[in-house]
Amino acid sequence: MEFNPALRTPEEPGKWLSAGLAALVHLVLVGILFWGVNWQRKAPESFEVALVRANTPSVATEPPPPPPPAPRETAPTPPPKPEPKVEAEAPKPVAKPDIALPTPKPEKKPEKKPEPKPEPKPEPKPKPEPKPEPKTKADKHEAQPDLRAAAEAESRALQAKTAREAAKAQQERALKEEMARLSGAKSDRARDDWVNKIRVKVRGNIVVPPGLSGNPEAVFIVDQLPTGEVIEVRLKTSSGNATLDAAIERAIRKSSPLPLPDKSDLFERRLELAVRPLQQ
Amino acid sequence: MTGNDDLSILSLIAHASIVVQLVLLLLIVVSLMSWYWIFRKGIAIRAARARTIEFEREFWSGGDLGAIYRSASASREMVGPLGRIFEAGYREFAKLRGQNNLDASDIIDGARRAMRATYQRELDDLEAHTAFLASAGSVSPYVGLFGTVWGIMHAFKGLGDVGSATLSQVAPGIAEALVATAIGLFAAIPAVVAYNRFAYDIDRLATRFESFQEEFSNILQRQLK
Repeated sequence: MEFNPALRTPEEPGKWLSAGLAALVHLVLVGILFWGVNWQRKAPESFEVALVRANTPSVATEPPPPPPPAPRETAPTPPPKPEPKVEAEAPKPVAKPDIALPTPKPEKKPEKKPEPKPEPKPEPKPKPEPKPEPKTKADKHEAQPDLRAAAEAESRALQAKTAREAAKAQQERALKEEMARLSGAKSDRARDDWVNKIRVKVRGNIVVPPGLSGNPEAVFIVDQLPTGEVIEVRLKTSSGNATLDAAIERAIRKSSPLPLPDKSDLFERRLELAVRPLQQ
Repeated sequence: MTGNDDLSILSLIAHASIVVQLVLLLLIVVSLMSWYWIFRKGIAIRAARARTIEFEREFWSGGDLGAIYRSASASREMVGPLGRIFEAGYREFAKLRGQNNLDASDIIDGARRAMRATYQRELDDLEAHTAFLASAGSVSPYVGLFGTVWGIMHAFKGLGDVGSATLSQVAPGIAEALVATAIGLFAAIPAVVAYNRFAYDIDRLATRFESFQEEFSNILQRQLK
């Protein structure tokens, strides 16, 4: 019997290459699963958005040229202008320094005050104010030496800048207050969650007495250990049904240890717990 | 287990029951094997097609049959399936032609039988292990489903002991159970796609081989006259 060469078929190529590629595909899958599932878990926390409204004059809209806008930006509403000028200007320096206004301000004000004053008297409206200003300034410049004018312009720019910074700081402060208020609300919500969890657990243990009508609420004061262990239960406000009160009290004791809050700083040793036997 | 636990894939698998873990292990092994065969068959079929095209071009460029036969039998590994079919047919033809007492149709029939045998063997080689892909593709989802059902049963059984049900008590169990379905689908989808692709490619190659056999028989018949 002769040897049939057709039996000797060559081995298919790519043994190790395909093993490597298969392993690679699975590594990629494991990576995707690992990171993908983690992302899903973490995303809601990091993307929580708090809408904050700060009650401060908007600095963003303020136009860049320093001298004319500076006075307007600090007193954005027209009302002060028509009133006697000196009085209108006076509050501004008071308001600003308490934020962070350095020295240049006092020098500035006296110089600027004379300028606006003459303008509004002939014209009651505040708008034309910027235009006449340069003119009066020019007059002054002629009367005074150039050096003085340069110094004045410089300090004016400085003042505008500090005013802007002050407004920004004020806005940030307002923002921070708003955030603090919001986070307070958030911790309220977390506390509600916790109390609700306790309520659910207690409710699951209540043996509702037969013949109970309605869904009356009873308020208990619960003393508990930091582990959630119930030490004492006292009735604060009865539900109006003594049997139900007793049933709820038993349920609270039976629910020991009570669920703990997500954040340990929310824990209260003496907890006021309002319970209704049925879900609302 | 509370809702605050990190639901990363590793902790899910680590918390799963032993049956689910076994199912996951099985599915991962199946997935690894099916990807291995996907790549391996893909490479092999692509190489077979390239060599078939190469051999057809060489064959139809009108060279001497004897020369083509010699080069084909000298490098059987490199000549591809079609080259080996040709080689088997031509060898048989040459052998039978040497015997004087044979009819022309007998010689051609002998050559055709030799080619047919090699053709079957080559197709068998090409199709080897694609059946594994087919069964991996059809069975893995069910295996994954089994793991999921088992895991959910487990989760609900644990729930019965707790008493009051909250979503955070059920969710992790269901999530870990669903990982089994996910891996089952991951193993199945590529296997099914690859199986269909390979079946189609092998079919086309088979058609090519068959038409070559017919044409080559005609050439041999002409040589006998």
